[in-house]
Amino acid sequence: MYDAQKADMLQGTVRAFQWSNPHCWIQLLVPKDGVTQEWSVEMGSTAELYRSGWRPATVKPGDKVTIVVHLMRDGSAGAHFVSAVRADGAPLGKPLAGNVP
Amino acid sequence: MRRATGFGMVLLLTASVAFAAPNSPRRVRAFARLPDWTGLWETTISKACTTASGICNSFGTGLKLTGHPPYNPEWEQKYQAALAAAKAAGTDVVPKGCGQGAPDYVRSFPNIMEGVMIFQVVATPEETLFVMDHGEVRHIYTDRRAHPGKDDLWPTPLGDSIGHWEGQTLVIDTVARSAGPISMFAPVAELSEQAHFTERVRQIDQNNLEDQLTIEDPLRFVHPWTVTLPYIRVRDLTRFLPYDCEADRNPVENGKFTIAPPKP
Repeated sequence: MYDAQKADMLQGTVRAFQWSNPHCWIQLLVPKDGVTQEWSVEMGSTAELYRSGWRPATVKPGDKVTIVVHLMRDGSAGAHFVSAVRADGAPLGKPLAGNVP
Repeated sequence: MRRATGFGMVLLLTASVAFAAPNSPRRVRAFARLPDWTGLWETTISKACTTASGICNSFGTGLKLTGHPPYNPEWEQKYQAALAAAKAAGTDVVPKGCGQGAPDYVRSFPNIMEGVMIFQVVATPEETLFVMDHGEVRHIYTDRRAHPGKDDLWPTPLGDSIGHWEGQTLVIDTVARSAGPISMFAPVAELSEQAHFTERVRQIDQNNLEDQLTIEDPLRFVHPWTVTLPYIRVRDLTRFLPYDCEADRNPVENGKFTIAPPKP
């Protein structure tokens, strides 16, 4: 489904943060060549996010974020979350390495 | 009328006393003999998959139920054929864990004992419950009952479990588990409805539990198959966080996962 071998970056404005199971989602408005496209960025479950330092209010509509993702292989506007930072560069959630057992 | 009211009050008082009665000394002693497994526990793959992406860093200490079952010649041949067919069709991948397109066996025993799972163990003298965060509850009856008779027993995803305590080790006997895959991570390895499971669950130290699981399948195995499933104490949660599939957005279309748009 996603190309896990390649990391890409999506920069945009959060339209919605869906805190839900089985997975959480960020709906991100990404401008490109004068057109804004909405992307669906899939994350882990609420428990996985909670334990990774995320909360339902960690990102809000209107927030500017940059998200590292694995893109959909079929080229559609979907992606799998890897990590994210705010516009000022502050990371969202705990660093990935902190969760390695 | 007054007499009737008075009689009602006596009944009410008696009932209240009955509900408020303390545990009998015998039951208190039985409780005191049980190990304290209070808290939350998780599988090693759950620990490894605890990232904001849900992407697993590894399979923890390694999955045990994905090993090669000791099939008899007939079922070994069928297993190898199923494995080859699944690889050729590209279906030897992990299925959906829940929601539309998720097979029933992802919620079955013993798969749930090695899935991406956090659970709680509730031990009482009469039964021990394994409460899984995906919603399944295993009831292990420890009140010396036997399995139901043939007419009262039918295959279910979790099977029928009875148990007893040998010191601080819970010994579980499970039968009548529906035929099907052993593990969602190796869906072509299947068991028959005649499979019999024996588990020995014990605490290793403050942070580790283990479940030594032996599977016998008289219709398919040449000998019993024993694996040890390790569990780790969850330190970063102070409450149970249930999991559900209410907002599943990954329907399977033509055998492939897709993304559904968000609900308005």
